[in-house]
Amino acid sequence: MQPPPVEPDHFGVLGLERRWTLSVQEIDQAWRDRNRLVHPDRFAGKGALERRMSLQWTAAINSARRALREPVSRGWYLATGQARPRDEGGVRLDPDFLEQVFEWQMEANADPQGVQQQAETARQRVLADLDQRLSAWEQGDRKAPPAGVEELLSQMKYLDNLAQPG
Amino acid sequence: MSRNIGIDLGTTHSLVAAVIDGKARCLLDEDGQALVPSAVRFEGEAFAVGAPALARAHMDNGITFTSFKRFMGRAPQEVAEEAKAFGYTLVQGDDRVIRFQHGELVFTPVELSAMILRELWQLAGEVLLSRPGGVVITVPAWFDDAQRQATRDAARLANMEVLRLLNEPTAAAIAYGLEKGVDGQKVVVYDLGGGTFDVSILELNQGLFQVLATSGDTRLGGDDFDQALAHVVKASLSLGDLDGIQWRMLVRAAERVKRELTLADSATLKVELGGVEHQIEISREQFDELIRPIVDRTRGSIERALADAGLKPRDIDEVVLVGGSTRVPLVRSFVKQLFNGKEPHKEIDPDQVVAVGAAMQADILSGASQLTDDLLLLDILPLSLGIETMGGVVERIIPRVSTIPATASQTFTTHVDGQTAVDIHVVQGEREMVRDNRSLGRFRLTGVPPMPAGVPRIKVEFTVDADGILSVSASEKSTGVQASIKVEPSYGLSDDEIEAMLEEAIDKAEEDFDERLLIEARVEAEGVAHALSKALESDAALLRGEEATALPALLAELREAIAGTDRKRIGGLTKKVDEQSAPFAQRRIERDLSLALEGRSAAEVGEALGVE
Repeated sequence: MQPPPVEPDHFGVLGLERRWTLSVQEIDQAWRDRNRLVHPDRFAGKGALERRMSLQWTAAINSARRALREPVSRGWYLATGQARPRDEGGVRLDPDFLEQVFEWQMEANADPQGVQQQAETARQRVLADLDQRLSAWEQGDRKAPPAGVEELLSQMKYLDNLAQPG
Repeated sequence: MSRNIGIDLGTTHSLVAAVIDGKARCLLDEDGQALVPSAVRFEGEAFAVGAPALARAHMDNGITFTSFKRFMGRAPQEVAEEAKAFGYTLVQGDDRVIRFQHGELVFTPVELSAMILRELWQLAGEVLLSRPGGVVITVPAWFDDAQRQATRDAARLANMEVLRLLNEPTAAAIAYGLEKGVDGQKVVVYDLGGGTFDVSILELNQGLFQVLATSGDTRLGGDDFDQALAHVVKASLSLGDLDGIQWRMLVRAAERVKRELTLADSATLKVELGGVEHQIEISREQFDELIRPIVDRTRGSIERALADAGLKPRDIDEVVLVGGSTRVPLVRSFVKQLFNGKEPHKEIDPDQVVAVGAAMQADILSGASQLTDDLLLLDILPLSLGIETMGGVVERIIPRVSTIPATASQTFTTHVDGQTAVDIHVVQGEREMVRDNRSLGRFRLTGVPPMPAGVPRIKVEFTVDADGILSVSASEKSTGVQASIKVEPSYGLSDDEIEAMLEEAIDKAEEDFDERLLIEARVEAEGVAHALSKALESDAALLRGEEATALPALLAELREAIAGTDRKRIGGLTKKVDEQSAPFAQRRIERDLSLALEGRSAAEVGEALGVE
């Protein structure tokens, strides 16, 4: 057994292709198959080194599954190499979008349901857009990270909060 | 090859099991008992474990510890009330390790648990006729890092190789072979013991077990049924004020009735208090009405667990009953009704099912199991792990319900120029503020190269292993220096303390063996002394010749020996009393026989002879 890579690729450790269109079932299946190979229970009573590697591998596949299971975090991972928004220096959001968000926030007290509905509609639109761009990217050679999706993903963060407050 | 074993280390009793000829079974002691009471007794330097410890619990020449599992991995300040309720004295001034004081001796829950483990290990060795291999030990699914660590420490003190800490509900599901069922099925494990209630929801997928949610009540169990019945009986018989011993006798009588009522429609509660015999008839209906509110208290925990797992009762495919109190018919019908009439699994003895599952897992981990090679248990972290940040706020690093093993890394830096050490405080829990969570430990990073404040980039990696136990490693990124970490657990024993105990235990192993035999010898001697003294009282007329003086003298000598600590003397005298009183005993039997046969019916003869 080899140790897992230092900065493991979430797709790679699960033996999956770098793709956007993955079902939860596919990811779980890959995760289960890997578990059977690397889980510490398969190395009970073995040497300390092997047990340590098994632990590292299993932790890596568990992180990978968590990162890839949700479409939005999978999108982030494809776009930036991290399964969550960058800590600093992300993309600049469209001023029109920000103005709309601000307006909804103002209205939220007076008409929470109305705002929720509008935000949800917007969220679905962004999600569809995201799906379209990432699906198109998947058809290509997939060498460069997908372009233009980081802004959509950032918008999702705001829309999630408005559509499902609390 | 040595055989692996499974151990259910329980609050009130513990069991050991192993797979023999392809079948998992609990191993029985020489009295045919699978349940070893989780009790340890000390009389001076002497000690006893299991049934003999419980048998002498009422005597005031020592102390019997029970329920110490409740104290495992907890903080002295949070158990003060509980310790008092059990009559244990805590060593004052220690806010890290719980230590019970008795005279000059001091015991930690970890050491007491280690004594139970050793007892079970020895039992396994005797039954299997060989030294056992590795061990799987079960723990409640909700045990946090410190409680799991304490369990592992106990195993280390007992010199065992722990293959895996296994969640109790998972063990029960394995025992029933539920992994062979339909994919994605949801299983509820309802575990009602003597003093604790746990409910867990598992999802089973292609031989993988996952704990989705767990909940429970640490102060709810079958003992509450006994108490409730005893209170009602006391009132309806107008028993007035009872002292502690009388109350315990009444509760034990209530417990007997509870057991009878699992099969019978009514039972008679009999109890002798202050020389007066009381009795009262209790019907199943009366009992059910009495305990219904108690049983109903399990409902809230079940609803919480279902909500946590995002499920409704109708989503549940299988229900498994665990714990002796699930023998009570009302409990069974309550559970069945709660899950839309689904018949719960109860084919395996509810006291044994967890140990059986542990043994199966132990066998699978041997890598040469005939049971299955496709079973893999995947557990989750029951509570989030976080670290303290500015202002006492928690930053979550590994969220609860993450599948384990899990890792997370975090980069730290220094606040002062030339700072060479950084402290990291790790907590477990779901609350925002550090003070509302459980402190697990402080990790001190040393060997950071001296640099201006904010320049060092120290990457700290947190790893939770398959048993749910945390470890931490760190390195300074800009220079690649491996910083070293010293762990100071908030509660529980440090590594050095365990090592010291271990050394002491090895030194004392032989001495310990003698000391435990002493109490066993006392228990046996007391039985013999008690029987003889009763016979002397009731049948003095049957004594012949010198017996009238010799036997009482011998009895006095034996009692004196019991009070002493010379095990060989106690054993020798027990044998001597046995031999010398044999003719007297023989005469008593013959007298009973002739009495019995004088114009009596067969049934009366049987009764006179004590034959049922």
